[in-house]
Amino acid sequence: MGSIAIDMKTLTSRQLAVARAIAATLFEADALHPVPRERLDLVLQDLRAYVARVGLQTRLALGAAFFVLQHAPFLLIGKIGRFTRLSGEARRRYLERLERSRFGIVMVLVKTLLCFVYFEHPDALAGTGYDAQGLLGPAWALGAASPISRLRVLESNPSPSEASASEARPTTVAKGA
Amino acid sequence: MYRAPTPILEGRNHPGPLTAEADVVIVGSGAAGSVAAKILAEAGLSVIVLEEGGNHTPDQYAKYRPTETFRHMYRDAGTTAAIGLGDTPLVSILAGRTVGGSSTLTGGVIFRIPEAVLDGWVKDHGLVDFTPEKLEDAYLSVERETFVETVPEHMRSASTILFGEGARKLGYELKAMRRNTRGCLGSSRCNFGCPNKAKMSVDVTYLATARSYGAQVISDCRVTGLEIEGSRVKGVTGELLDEERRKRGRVRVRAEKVLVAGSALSTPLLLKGAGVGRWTRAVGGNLTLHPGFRVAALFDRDVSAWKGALQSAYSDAFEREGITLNSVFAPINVLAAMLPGVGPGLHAYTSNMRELATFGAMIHDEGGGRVWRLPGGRPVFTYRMCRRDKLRMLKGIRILAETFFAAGAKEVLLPVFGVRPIRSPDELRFLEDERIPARRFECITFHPLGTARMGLDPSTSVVKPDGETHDVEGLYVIDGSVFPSSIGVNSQMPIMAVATRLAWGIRDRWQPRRVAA
Repeated sequence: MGSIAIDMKTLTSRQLAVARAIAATLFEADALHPVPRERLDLVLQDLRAYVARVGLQTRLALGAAFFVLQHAPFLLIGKIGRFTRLSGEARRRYLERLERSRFGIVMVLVKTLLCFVYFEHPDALAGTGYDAQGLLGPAWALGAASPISRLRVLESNPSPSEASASEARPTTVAKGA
Repeated sequence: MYRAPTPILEGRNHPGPLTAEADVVIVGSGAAGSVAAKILAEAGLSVIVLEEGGNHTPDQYAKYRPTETFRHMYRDAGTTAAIGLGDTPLVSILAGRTVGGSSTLTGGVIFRIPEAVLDGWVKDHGLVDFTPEKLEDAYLSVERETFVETVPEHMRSASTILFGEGARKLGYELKAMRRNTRGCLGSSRCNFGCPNKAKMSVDVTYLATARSYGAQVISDCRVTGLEIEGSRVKGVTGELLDEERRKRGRVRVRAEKVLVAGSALSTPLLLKGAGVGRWTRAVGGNLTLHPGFRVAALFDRDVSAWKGALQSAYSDAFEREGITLNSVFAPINVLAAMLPGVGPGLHAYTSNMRELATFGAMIHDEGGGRVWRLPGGRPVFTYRMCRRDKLRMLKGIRILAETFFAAGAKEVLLPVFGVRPIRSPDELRFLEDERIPARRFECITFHPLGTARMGLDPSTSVVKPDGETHDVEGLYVIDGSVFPSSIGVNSQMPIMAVATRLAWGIRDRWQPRRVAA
């Protein structure tokens, strides 16, 4: 990921560091399978672009949410220290407890935005079992002006009549060079 | 005369300020604005449509990822919300901000306004021109222009079919929905722009036709003021926006008539800014939302709920209780956000998305919302849910969950923050306790209505039954803001039908004057 210029309309580098730690904890399948670094980079890149378009109200709420997430571990799991300095296990326990607590809305806000961007990564999307045209269709993948456009499409874009027949079969895509 | 559509003038590419003159200027290119533009341009009037959002063609939005659609085509990138006052949830409001407005982003669902609702409009607000009979021609006109068709059964997703089986076991049936589509391929992402150009949203129907009749559409143009001289409107002022939504030039359009169609969220801001209706609290008040929610369920089989029409069936079995059930789906990344857990816990769900089914509901609400205008023009939306509506939500959630269990679900995920997945119908009993704080409900809406209501009394309403404001001559409101009450069904067709009727009135009253001039 390139250097990040200061932009009042989106997340600060501190907030991005918290977001990265949350994403790594949130999407880790298990201790042996951490989220690949490249995928986290894309999550942060897209998250920045996304937050630049949200309204002032949401930006303020997000700022507050990141602050609470970073500084509240002691209140919920009794651990002194910031969220980003906790062990992986403690981070997970903390986020789980926060999600079930009366302050769950804090977690919901951040989790929602992270899920939006994370599950658009082709590998993450494929991991859900999704196999249809709507999100991963050839036209869509080819046209996206984003990292996802690096996908190399293995099937051609069907005509409308062909598309209805092909709707049921999986679309195959693979990463290009 | 019908000719090639005029090109859309993109404000982001226009050098310097812009001044124009027309018979009619329309603020907003959504369901209402586009309808009026077509009707008035067809009648030979010069029409300018000003749209705050960008110009995204069907070819472009067909290829957007959901977050790209959110960023480029939704108001506040889809994060607009009404702050809950009292025992009320935070209600996420999804509204379009693009050429074509929300119509490019809805499921295309078509319902007429229920007769009981229109009866109330006549009895309580004196709107005698809004009976089912008098709206019939408008409905037919909209259905013809937007290619309304019934969703065939084979377009239903496995998720909807399963829910329908559960409903039958519980003694109620699903009915086929009608939508404005042509050649739908069932990609289940209507809310993010149709990938197959099959949704007949107003950008490809009404607005395209209006442009063929010479209407000029200007995108990236935020209207910030009304020019009023004496008691008569003379035009609008505003600003052109660049790609980052920053101001880049002034706009001034002079016109005989100004039609405001910016949606129930934006219209009151413009009116309040100009001091229209300052003697009544009706401007910005009476905001109704149709709070909606969805329940997800896990089955022991492949559901692949993304295969089929996003919205294909509904049930009005609970209409008397103010609850309408609608089939819904959301793209994977949006759906994942409602799944519980962290790390391995979340992964257990996200890796089994194929087994996940969803169904939604919305309630016919009383309307305790308000649009506030802060100094500088920024809006704040608040909503107070009454006890009756909260009970309706609890009941609706329970109905959806019980129906999924009847269909054989092994686990149900409720739209209540902090509640663990439910594994048997017995565990749903906690929903009988109305002390559950409403702020824990996950709530969403596509249908904000009613912030500049129509009526006969200037002290309780903003516009007259013909759409013209009580205060200012030549200034009309023609969008969902004018609805005097919640309607309990998807609002696209009702907004278009009411706009049709109001635009017909403006056209019919105008023509003799033009001839005389």
